[in-house]
Amino acid sequence: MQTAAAVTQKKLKRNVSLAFFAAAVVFSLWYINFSFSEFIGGIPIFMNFLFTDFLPPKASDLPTYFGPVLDTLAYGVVATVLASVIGLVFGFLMARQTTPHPVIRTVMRGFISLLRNIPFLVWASILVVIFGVGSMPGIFSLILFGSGFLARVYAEAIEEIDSHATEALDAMGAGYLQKIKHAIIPQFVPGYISWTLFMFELSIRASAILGLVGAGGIGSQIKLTMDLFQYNRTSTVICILIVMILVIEFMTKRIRERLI
Amino acid sequence: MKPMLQIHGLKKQYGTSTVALNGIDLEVHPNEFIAVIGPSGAGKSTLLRCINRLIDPTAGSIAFLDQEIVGANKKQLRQIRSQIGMIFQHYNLVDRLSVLENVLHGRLGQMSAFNGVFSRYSEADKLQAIALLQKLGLEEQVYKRADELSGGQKQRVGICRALAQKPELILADEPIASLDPNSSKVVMDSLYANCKEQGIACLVNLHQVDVAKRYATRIVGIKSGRVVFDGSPEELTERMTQHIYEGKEHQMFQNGSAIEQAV
Ligand SMILES: Nc1ncnc2c1ncn2[C@@H]1O[C@H](COP(=O)(O)OP(=O)(O)OP(=O)(O)O)[C@@H](O)[C@H]1O
Ligand SMILES: [Mg+2]
Repeated sequence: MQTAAAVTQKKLKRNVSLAFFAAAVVFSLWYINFSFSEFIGGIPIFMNFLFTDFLPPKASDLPTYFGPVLDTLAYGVVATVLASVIGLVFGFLMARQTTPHPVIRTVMRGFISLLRNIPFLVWASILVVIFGVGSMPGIFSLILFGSGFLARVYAEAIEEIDSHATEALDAMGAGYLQKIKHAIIPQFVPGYISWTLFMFELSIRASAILGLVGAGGIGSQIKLTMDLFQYNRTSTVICILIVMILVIEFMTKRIRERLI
Repeated sequence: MKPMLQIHGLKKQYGTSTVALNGIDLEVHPNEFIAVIGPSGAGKSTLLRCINRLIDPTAGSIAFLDQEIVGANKKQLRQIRSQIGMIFQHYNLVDRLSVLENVLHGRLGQMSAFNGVFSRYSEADKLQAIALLQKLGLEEQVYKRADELSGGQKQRVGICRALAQKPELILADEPIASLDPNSSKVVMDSLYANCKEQGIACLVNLHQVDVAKRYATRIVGIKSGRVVFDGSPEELTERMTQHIYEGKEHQMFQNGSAIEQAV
């Protein structure tokens, strides 16, 4: 039962929170000199740019993008497979039921969280400095980010597995590896497939952004064509990218439905 | 006859306040089919799980075929567990694997880590597993996925898995609590017949007093973590039952009388 006083206090709390939020918005707008007139005034300019410079996409040179598309797909496959292998090892070390020791679990979780919380664009920028412009920094940054991401979601998927079957194997004297093989892995397969496919999707999407730091793939074409002011080519590349993402989304969805 | 399992002064305390077992003394002889009865929270599950150390007891000793369970190291414990089958209320099968694979899991405790991990079951083990499934009326289900079965069928797979261990002792924690009367009867009949036939001692936790009386060669009544009755089904009088379930009488017959009608 809530008393009248508790209700009043709740209301007060809510009002104070709202006031704080409003103040934060107003302060931020003022602080960055946000200009509504510029924002509204920019819309026609943007529309103009979109329809005269950007559209229509230049369809005639579609075949020239075949190579970059294939590159992007190949990068995605390589990055996903490697990230999945690394992620599996770390995932199993990090999950409660499968970790060899609780201390290893804690250390790994810390390490992976560090890896994962560095945005992959930052990885890419750093790696471009190290390896130079090209496809390698793109793949490496995807692998780094992907390993962290997959390790975490794999570990979570393992921890969500129902403990009943593991308990039964424990009771009959099965060992650590036997339990992983016969009780954990069979139940982890759907989660594993689902997350790995998602990682592949992510890596294709990421290729657009990676191109901007010169890290190769179809994304590089966006930057290249824009630097040359060939905006209707840019729009072709963007269309290709959208189609790729849609097709892959559709395919991964179908695979998921079949396997689970 | 010499007891195969000797429990002495067994205590289990959860946290600082919950005393689940408060000094249990119990001996189990070969060929016995013992029903453990008692109200909810009496400590029945805790007792069974202490025997194979799924739960670590706080104090006391458990000797199984002259091996001490309470002090056993990891390797010894695995060896001991491989000789004790367990059957669970919720069947505890691996849902995404076939019925046959689930039964073969019973062999893991007696295989090397390598053979176990790579499912290198012997031909004899496979034949035995199929024979067991046939015996329990599951020949049609051998290659089905475990999650396609009904509750009663799943529990029979659970029994096959335990029997595949060729155990000396089977622990069954409320094997029929999630089943309808007909399936309950099939499951209890299979469990009883196979234990008798292969000379396996069995400890079964049951909620239903009449089911306990029907099958058990001996009944152990537990109340608040102590043994308050230990005798033959005939010795378990109405008054004694009242005493065991004092204050929780409604728990005595949960779908138990229905099994009577299903006979
Ligand atoms: N993991 C646990 N942590 C804390 N207390 C527990 C735990 N498991 C059991 N208990 C407590 O120990 C006591 C005995 O529990 P137990 O499960 O052995 O009873 P039970 O006789 O099997 O009951 P039921 O018939 O409901 O299955 C209960 O008071 C219970 O609340
Ligand atoms: Mg119980």
